[in-house]
Amino acid sequence: MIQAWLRIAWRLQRSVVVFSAVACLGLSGVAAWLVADMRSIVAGCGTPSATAACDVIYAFQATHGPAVSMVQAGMGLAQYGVPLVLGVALITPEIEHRTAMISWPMARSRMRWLMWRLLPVAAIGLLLIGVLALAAEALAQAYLPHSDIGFTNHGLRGASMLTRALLVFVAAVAIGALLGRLLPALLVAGALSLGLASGLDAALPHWVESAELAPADDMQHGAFPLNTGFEYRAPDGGPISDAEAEAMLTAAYEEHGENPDPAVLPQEVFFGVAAWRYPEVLIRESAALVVATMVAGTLAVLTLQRRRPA
Amino acid sequence: MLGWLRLDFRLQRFEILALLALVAVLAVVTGISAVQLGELREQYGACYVGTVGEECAPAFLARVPWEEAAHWILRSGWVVPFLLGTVLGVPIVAREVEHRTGAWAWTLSLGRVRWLLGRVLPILLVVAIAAGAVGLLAELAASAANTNSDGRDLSESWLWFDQRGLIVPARAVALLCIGLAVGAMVGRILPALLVSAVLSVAVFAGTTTGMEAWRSTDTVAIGVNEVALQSAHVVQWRVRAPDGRLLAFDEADAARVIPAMMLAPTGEELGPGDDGYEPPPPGYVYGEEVALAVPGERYQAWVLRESAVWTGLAAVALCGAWAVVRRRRPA
Repeated sequence: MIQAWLRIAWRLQRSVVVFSAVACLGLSGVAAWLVADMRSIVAGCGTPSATAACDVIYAFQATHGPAVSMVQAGMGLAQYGVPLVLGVALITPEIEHRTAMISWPMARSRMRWLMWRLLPVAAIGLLLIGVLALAAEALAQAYLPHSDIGFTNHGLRGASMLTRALLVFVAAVAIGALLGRLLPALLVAGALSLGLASGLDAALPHWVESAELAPADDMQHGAFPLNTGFEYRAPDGGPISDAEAEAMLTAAYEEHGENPDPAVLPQEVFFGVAAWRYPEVLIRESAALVVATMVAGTLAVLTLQRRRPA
Repeated sequence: MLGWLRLDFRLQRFEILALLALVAVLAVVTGISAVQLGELREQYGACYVGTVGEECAPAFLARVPWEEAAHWILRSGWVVPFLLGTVLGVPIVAREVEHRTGAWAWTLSLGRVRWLLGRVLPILLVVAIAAGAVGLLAELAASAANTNSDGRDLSESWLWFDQRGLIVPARAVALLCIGLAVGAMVGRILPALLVSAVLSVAVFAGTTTGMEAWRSTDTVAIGVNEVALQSAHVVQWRVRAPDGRLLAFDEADAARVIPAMMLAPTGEELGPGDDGYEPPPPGYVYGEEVALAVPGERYQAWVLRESAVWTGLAAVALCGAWAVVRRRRPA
């Protein structure tokens, strides 16, 4: 029985599954090659063959930057595109081609039909996006080998990529069930994905409260926090404006030359969320996305239960 | 023609209305940001050109969100032709084949070519007008966001050249015809959309690369500090040695030519004996960094050439679609 449903899922969405597999595995393959290359360079640190990459935070910006950026952009597109096309194509063809009138009764219940159609496709999609997420995580780590990558590329790697993709997939199924036509559902789900990506980016600083970052938490000391603000402080610790800080700096350099005493200079103070708090933010965001996915799933089921089959 | 237009609208109503709504939203955003940027220019005009002081900090801060909005409008010059062409072009034939209505439609139309023309021409008109509107909006946004100090308007400037103007509708029509051909060949909407999307990106990348190679044959050397560079399209950077030779950076290293000039705060070149002049290290000479660039005056000619290339691609794709539809089984 399971095999029969797997065969049906394959026959009905063969081209989309193949396209998704080529996209995800292709990008993951290129990412793996870049990771191996960068790691081999880092392995040479501390030996006579050490390169400049061993001494700088952005170790591979000049050598691998363009390639890594392109691969990460492709991964960002695939992370939303793959679940979108897999999800939208689940219910809409049945309604558009008027085969739902036959397939839904034959499955004994619509819920049963949905589960048997959705589960194989969801499993394939999650597997592909899972591979992509692992490759993206490895790529982000390899690109910044000397730092805690913290919030870098959040949403484009690891668990954050997986939870977003799952929500987009279920939402696409729900929208497909609601609209019943492929292209409109694709356009609406695509717009929703864009909105989701923008909304989650805007919400990122708000999952936990931001605080003044300690010197050990900043980029110069090997961590990538989420910066939310910046201010200057006078040497006595009181806050000052940018213009006052600029005036203080100019006066200090005019009086003391090129190397003034740091005690007379205004201090730069950064606010944000430290890199070591990334797991906390990730758990909160993931929980919210899982809840949203369950809501979308419920909507899909309810729509399917009540919908006319054509 | 009106009958075909009504038929196309009924068959692709949602997609046409959705994309026209997108163009309408872009128009509103362009209008608002252009007005705001215009008011800021009137209020802080001197701050956006030449050397500025501390009093201009509010001017730049106020400008940031509206400039960002203008840049999003300009980016739509890349995205919207792709959306219009792919979403409206692919289903024209693919839907008829997938839903098995091709056999009736092609027979009732007294010929497949007549049917194809009747379906394509109205959509082509809609796409050309919508994309033309986007190109125009992008021109307005570029004009509002332009802070160059050379006094040229955008008809003689390469700023954001591939995101505005005539190139936008030309590209949209070509991508529509490519989507049409792919849809005719594949015969199923979703796979054809995916293939058309990938092919469109590949064609865009190929055309961009080819046009850049073509433009590299029409360059002149413009000094890095010359005002004319602001409106030019830079193809390559070189170093001009004192004897006039143009060297690549590695050649300049080998020839011991430093790509730097001694300049006064007013921008004039300093020579030996002038205040502030520092001689080059022993064995080295100063050269001038120059751009091999296509000047702004040639912008319009190159827009016409690139639009002609895209129109040629559209014609080829349309012929391909016609050839496929003529021979294709209707289901």
